[in-house]
Amino acid sequence: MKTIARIILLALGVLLLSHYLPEGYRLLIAKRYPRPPIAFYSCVQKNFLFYRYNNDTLTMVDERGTNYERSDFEQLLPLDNYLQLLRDDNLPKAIDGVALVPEKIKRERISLRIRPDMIDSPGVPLYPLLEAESGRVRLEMPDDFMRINSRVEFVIAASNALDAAKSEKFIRAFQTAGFAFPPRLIAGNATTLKPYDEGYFLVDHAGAAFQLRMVHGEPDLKKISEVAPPATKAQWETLNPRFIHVQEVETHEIRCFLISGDNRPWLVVGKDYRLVPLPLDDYEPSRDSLVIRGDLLNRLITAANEDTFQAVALDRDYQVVRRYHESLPNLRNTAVGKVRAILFPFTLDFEDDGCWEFFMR
Amino acid sequence: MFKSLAYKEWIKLRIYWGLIFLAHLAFCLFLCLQLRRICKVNAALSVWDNWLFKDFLFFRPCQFGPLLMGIVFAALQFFPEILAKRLRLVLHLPLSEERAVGAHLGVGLGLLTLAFLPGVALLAFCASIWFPHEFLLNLAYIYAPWLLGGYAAYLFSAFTLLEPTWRYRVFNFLLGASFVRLCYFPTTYDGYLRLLAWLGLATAAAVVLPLLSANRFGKGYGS
Repeated sequence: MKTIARIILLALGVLLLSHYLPEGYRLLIAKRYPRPPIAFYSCVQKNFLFYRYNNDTLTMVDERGTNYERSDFEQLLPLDNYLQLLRDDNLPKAIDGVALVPEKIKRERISLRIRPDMIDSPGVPLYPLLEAESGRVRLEMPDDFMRINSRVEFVIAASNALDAAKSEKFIRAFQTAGFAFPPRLIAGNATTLKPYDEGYFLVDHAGAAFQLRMVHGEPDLKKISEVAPPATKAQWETLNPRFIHVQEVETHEIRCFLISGDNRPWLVVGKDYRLVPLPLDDYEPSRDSLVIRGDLLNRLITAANEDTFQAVALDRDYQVVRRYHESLPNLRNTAVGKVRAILFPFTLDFEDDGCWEFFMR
Repeated sequence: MFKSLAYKEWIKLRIYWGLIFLAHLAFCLFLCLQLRRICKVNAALSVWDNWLFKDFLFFRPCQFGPLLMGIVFAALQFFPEILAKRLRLVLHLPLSEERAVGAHLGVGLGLLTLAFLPGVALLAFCASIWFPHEFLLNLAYIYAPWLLGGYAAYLFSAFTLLEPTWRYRVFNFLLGASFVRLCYFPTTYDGYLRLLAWLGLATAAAVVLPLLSANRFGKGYGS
């Protein structure tokens, strides 16, 4: 027993030191992590421009490294800086034959962020199902929350009791649509601060994708492969999404972002649920931060991790117009990083992304 | 022999245990009343909204309760044993050293559990009046690392107190403090979900550590 106790003491000591010593080193070194650049696609120059942070200074550069003054930089990105250009009376009337109308520029702006921690963060499995067509200007929170396990249930918050009638109504709708309980994935955007309600995207036990909305109090559940046009039907049937991010955008263009069972990123676009593959090189959802931005003329996708940064500019039809790729300076390759690697051959980490985990590196 | 040892420990600790038990129950009752007030004063929807989307932890004040209880309980149990080196009497019983110290730890952990559980059960019962079962699961996940923190604090306190030399005592204390800290990361409801099994395993393994100190005590180190 004494030997076992000694081994446990030694193991605990080593494990704790492999966490606290590197932490102490980090504290002592106080080295700033290099930040990836923020990319823009200039619809004027047809190339990428960047905000780069070097310590505390912000520089505005293009792909070749040419520095720009702020006013020149803004001039090259009229769709990102239209308010400033409007104020300076410098906003071009049109670009590529498309008229620049401030209301339209504002309406067409899109920004979606997919961080690695969003992919597998646990959440409370209760979902407010908003009334999608209430006839009111603003969306309103319902007074009950939906729970989907082996059946659908609505729990009324005020009484903490089941709404049996509503639950039954929805169960019938799920059965009619051929939904296989329990769902593998439930994804929605549970807020009223959005222009309309897309409801919830569900992936049932068999891997089929559904969309659930509540219209005039009635369930509206669609199996997406059945409402999609024949061209994408087969794609939807084999997609088997493992992550879905729903974010309603003013133009109703993007329905959701999803990662398929084979780990590829897609956008679901338009009324007919068109599947647009995101043309990224080597995207790993659990490692890369993804940003999808859109404006009147282009779509811009960037993916960054500790080592690389890539940007892809697309036209409005999601065809690639330009690509950019750069390797990022990594602390591992600096003197500080090399000393660290020698001092601490392995590190025990409990990384914080809202969720603590056990990592041995 | 175990029964007699357990009875000895019970005689020694019953009043303190009763006080700790009552204090914890009273504290949990206070939290229940606070939760009741939150649910009565605010609209149900906004309370649920705070729970589901804003990660509001209704039981945050609870987090250091088990830690405090673990340390105090270990001190109450083992201080009398090391004062005037009374533990030596136990170690001279016709019983292996491991069994003797194990019996002490078993009684301590058992009493600690009996002090924790009614309060936690009360919290769970009250919460189930206003919240569905998902909340109870959240409560379990949020409370589990704090409880483990309490057990770990008890075990490492025993490990430190039974150690006869100051040099090792400081080392044991630092080891315990750095371990217990792992149970108190700033967290959200399911934040510990993936760490819980590892923490549980490490805490369970720490049960054997006080045996090492007792062994050194028995050998007469530091005297």
